[in-house]
Amino acid sequence: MSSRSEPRRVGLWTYFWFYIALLYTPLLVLAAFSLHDSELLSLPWRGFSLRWYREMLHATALLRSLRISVIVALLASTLAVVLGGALGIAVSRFRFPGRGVLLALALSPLVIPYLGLAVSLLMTFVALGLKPSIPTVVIGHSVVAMPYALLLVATRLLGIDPSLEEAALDLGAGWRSILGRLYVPLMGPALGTAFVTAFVLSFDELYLAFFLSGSDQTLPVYFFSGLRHPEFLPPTLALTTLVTVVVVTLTLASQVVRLRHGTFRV
Amino acid sequence: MADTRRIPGGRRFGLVLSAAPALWLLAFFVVPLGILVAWSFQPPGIVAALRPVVTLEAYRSTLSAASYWRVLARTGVIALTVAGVAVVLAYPIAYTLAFAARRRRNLVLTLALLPFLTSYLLRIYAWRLLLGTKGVLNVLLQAIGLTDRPLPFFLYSRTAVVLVLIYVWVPWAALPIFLRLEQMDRSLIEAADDLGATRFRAFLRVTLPLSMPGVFAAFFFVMIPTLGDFATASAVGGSGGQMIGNIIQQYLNSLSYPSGAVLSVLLLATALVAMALGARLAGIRDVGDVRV
Repeated sequence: MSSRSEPRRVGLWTYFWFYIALLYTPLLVLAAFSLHDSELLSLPWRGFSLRWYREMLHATALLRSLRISVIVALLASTLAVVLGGALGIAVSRFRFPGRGVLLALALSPLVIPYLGLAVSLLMTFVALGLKPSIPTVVIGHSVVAMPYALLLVATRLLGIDPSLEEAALDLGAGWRSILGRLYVPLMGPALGTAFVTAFVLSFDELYLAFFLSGSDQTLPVYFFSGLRHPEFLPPTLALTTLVTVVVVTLTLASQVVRLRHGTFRV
Repeated sequence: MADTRRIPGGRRFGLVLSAAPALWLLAFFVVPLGILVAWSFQPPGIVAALRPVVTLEAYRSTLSAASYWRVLARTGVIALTVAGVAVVLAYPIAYTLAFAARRRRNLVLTLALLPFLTSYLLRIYAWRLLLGTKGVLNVLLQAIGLTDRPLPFFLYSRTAVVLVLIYVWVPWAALPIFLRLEQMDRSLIEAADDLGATRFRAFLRVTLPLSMPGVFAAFFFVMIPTLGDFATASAVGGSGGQMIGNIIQQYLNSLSYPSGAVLSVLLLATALVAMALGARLAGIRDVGDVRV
């Protein structure tokens, strides 16, 4: 089967590697500029330097935004996983009035532009007299991350043999212990993936954070405002590059660990 | 699914589990959208709080201004173009990944998905660096001799916005297509093979139609967020590349909430219409979905 497809495969793979090159080149160029010995992030090249990484360590506003981003992401992900997970269990395993509507509602953040939601949340908080701050961003992020948790959990549960539940029920287990001792352990990996997905989503999210973080700027908001003030950019660039490198390394490392220890699941 | 009618407490447990998420969604999704609509019916201007007035003045002054329609149309065109091109460019990637040999699969999958972990703003900014008058592209072109002056039109234009958005979204578009191709029943292709079809014909008549739901999903998952984009337009769009998101942002900055609300409502309505159209299309085009 493969011999006939070889010519086409070569074409496809060429396209693929060309795509990879095109995808990564701008990022590599950017990483190079983070080592540029000049505050002008443009050519001519003036030599390599670590000064931006050094300056980054002293840039209080920048580091503050990093800290805020982490806090927001942690809180939002927890909320998303708990709420989205509970809903995922409910809709995949039970029939109850309003199930269809609730499912459609919970999934709809996936198909609306975040800008619309951001504006409506901002107006709501303003009407309530709440200033944009960390809690408001956390709320916004939790709403848009919930569908992912819901889908991951529901998909996982739908793949579980129903006779496990029936056995537990026959043995006299109440729903609460079924939840704690059957569902949650079986869903472990799905919950983990949901948490990571929500975290990455929140950490890099701009639109909701832009309107809802107020003076507690998250990293993307800080970066975005920095686009108008070139003097803040090099340390921000250095930090963002560093964060990217760390994340990429962790991901590759976890892949290597997975390959060593067993099957790779998409 | 557990037979909740037979087992006591099943239905109630479902309600208990879904109570908190439902309330959360109600409070922070449904009600805010309602408040947004309420703001759009307020008299236009810089208002500090919702007043018990209902007027169509904000809608009237917005919908009658040609400039808003122009921006809305431009946004729509950008979104459609970006989604269309991104999906076309992403398809071969998804195909390569889905039909790759097991051995290489993990590595190339990771490589292709890694950009998701990089900052969206970083990727936009990278292009600003590359396309600027003192950027890498211009320097390269001058070095090769294709031009003797830096070309300013790469940046700060509608084209720049479209190009950068395509770059940002192609990896994202590849995912639904890949998932769909991966789940596809391979024996169908083999059947086509056995019946004497060439590889290309088999692709055209079997693989492509079956992958359409994934293609449509990818199209809409790119188009809808792009409608609301303002970051890319702000970074590389200049004055010719403004999208509706930028205008909404400006209104909110100047506290003109009613006008901002009107445009946001229009944005959400456009997204909704697009989704409905898309669902319709996906329903009609779903040829021979062999999943049981």
